[in-house]
Amino acid sequence: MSDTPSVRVTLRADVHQIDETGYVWVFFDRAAEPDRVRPGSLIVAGDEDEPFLARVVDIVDTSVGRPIVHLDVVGVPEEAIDELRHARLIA
Amino acid sequence: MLEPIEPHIRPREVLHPADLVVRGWPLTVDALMDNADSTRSRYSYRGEPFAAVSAEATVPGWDLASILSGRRLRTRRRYAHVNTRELIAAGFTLLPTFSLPHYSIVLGTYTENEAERLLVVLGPDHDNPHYVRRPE
Repeated sequence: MSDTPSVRVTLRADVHQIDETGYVWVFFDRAAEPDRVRPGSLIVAGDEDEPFLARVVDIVDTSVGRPIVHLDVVGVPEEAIDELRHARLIA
Repeated sequence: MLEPIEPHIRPREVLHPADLVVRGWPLTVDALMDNADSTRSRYSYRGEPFAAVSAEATVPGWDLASILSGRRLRTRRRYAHVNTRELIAAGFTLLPTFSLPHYSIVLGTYTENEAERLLVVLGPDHDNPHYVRRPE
């Protein structure tokens, strides 16, 4: 059995799925922890196998009655970890 | 009410038969069904729910390297691709939607069998040489 904890994705999303804004979009009701999904927040999105880092651009209403979240893809989590280590903000 | 996709289709765009259609991970039936379900839950095409899978294509200005190293696909370790001729021969429709190089692969039916068929046509997955690797 692996000691590695399973990845917890804040918002399941598909990096291909863009709309007319050019941003990735996903229905807000898919957020496992909606409180963490706020405009401007940095979240882990995607899926457990290949998560990505994204900035929440906005949360907007749609004509189908389900708000959507727009995500600006920032990179992969390892990039942020490396930068934080470089800055000596984490060990 | 579903939002028509038609205003978001780029007009007068024709793919060359050798152009590649590229799809990054996740490349699973569940993931393709999930993607198509979101699309059909928001958009319509010709008045019906638009069951389509998002992908990218090597249109002018976008070759395979620029797609794989782009802002979104550089986060994918693996990808699959197929040329337009084979995809269309397999019965799938391609629509140039939203901004370049995004394309929608229309599923004939929203079924696991159709998603499985698309995966087969996309072929084996490859390592993305432009993936943002874990820093050493």
